[in-house]
Amino acid sequence: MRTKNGTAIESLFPLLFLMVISIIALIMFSSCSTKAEISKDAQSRLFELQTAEKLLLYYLDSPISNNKKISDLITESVAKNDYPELQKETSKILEDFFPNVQKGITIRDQRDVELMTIGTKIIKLQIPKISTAILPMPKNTGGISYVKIELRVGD
Amino acid sequence: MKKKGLILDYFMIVAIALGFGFYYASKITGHPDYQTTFTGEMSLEVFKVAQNAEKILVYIGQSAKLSAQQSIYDLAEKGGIQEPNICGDNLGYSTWIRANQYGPMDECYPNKALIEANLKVSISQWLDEFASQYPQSAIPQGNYLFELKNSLDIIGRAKSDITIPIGKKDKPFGTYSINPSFKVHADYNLEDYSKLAKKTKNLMQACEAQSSKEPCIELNKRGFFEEYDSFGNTDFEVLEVCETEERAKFMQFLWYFDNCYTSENKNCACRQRMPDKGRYNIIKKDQNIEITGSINSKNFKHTLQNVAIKSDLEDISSQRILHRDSEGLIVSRDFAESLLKKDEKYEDKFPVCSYKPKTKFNFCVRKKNKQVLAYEEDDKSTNAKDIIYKFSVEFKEPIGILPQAAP
Repeated sequence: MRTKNGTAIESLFPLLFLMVISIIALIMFSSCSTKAEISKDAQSRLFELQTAEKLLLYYLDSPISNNKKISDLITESVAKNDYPELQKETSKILEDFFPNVQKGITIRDQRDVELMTIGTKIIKLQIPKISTAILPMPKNTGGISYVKIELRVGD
Repeated sequence: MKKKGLILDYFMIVAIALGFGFYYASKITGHPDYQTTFTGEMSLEVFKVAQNAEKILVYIGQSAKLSAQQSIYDLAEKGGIQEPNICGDNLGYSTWIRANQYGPMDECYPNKALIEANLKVSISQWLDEFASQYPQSAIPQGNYLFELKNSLDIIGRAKSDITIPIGKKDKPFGTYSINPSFKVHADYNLEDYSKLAKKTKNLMQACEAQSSKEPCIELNKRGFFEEYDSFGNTDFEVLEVCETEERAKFMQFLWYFDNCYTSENKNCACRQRMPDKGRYNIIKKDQNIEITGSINSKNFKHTLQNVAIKSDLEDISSQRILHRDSEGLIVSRDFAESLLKKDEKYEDKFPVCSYKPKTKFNFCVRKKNKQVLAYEEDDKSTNAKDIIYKFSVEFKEPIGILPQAAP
């Protein structure tokens, strides 16, 4: 078989082959680039998550007086339904974490009813950096069996 | 170009296309084994699981602190004795020392080994209750062996690790294990019990020779329990009232019943010491009786062992008191009244029963400068509460003093 100008079609196959290989190479390049982006995203998420998680554990373990930690004060405050002292102590601790970073602590009960919030309440982020821990409550504390402590970290 | 060579080119194109097709298909469906969707997802999952494990440890540590405080509070309320006491109890207060008619006093106060054993059982029960509240039942029950040290470190050694799956639940790509053992400090000294036992014994010895025990106890109890050290400090304070108003009324009724039951008079009315509030039922249960009371909408129950009554007595109140019949058995006033002749009046016909002198005494002793966060069933509240040791003592019945019917 021949083209109009008399060239044999078979002679064009190497050219077509080269074109296909080029297209595949382009696809591979774009794929690798996307892959690298996803990997970078995962690393970023890992770092942000680690920051929020570590800060939350640091917060819960923060001592506020002899033999008393903030986690003990959370339990006492929820049991008494009285939060001023907890808010004061939480503010102090939050100020110690990266002073220029937005941070907020929210305490909710097991039904997600908000009991206390301090710090920046809403942080608009592409990837939410919220870490949550759970603390037990003594029996029959106003129907609360445990509380969730949420730490939000913003830019 | 020859045709044979071109056939090879076609195969190459098809093979490369198939190869890329497979690559993209596997990329869309994820890792064939673990179904991950992007590079680094497995690392992220491992990290998340590790952080969750840390949070479980925080929860267990906090639960252990609460369990320890609640157990210390509960045990003090029971005088350090959880199981039935050999010396019995007086209105629910464990009897620590009981005078024996024929020999030395029976000493039933809890020793250190018993207190430790009871504390461990109580902490374990409370810890299981807290563990059951954790979402997705991630914390196993009955997983600890306890050790108590100094004043007071509580060490919980986990019998087994907590294992958390990494990745999707139905197809995890690994597991993460943690040892959830813990150590918490409760700032409490178990020696309180031995100190109080010694003071109780001294008080009993001081009053034993007295013919009338009650004035002696009232006069001396503060001196013995609140004894000051050389620095002018004292560990304990005697409380006159340590129950809610409702429980105090219920205990008063138990005491009233006990007085009426042990009276040696017949055909008499048990009028004295009946509480002015509440309605009570006395129900036969085999060899025992169960007394229930309802005061200000709060309900109480107490079982008295080896006590017999003729029949169930219901709705007893200050208007409907107890009565001892001609056989010395307890019946209600209504029943006794129903047997009277038309012109006879209950008050004129039946004298007041006399009661035996008081030989059993309850004590409430508060530990000074120490509070624990604890839940109390009577007031259904959780807050910082005093540690109050509740126990009783029993003297010998005086010989030669025969009870007499009051005029």
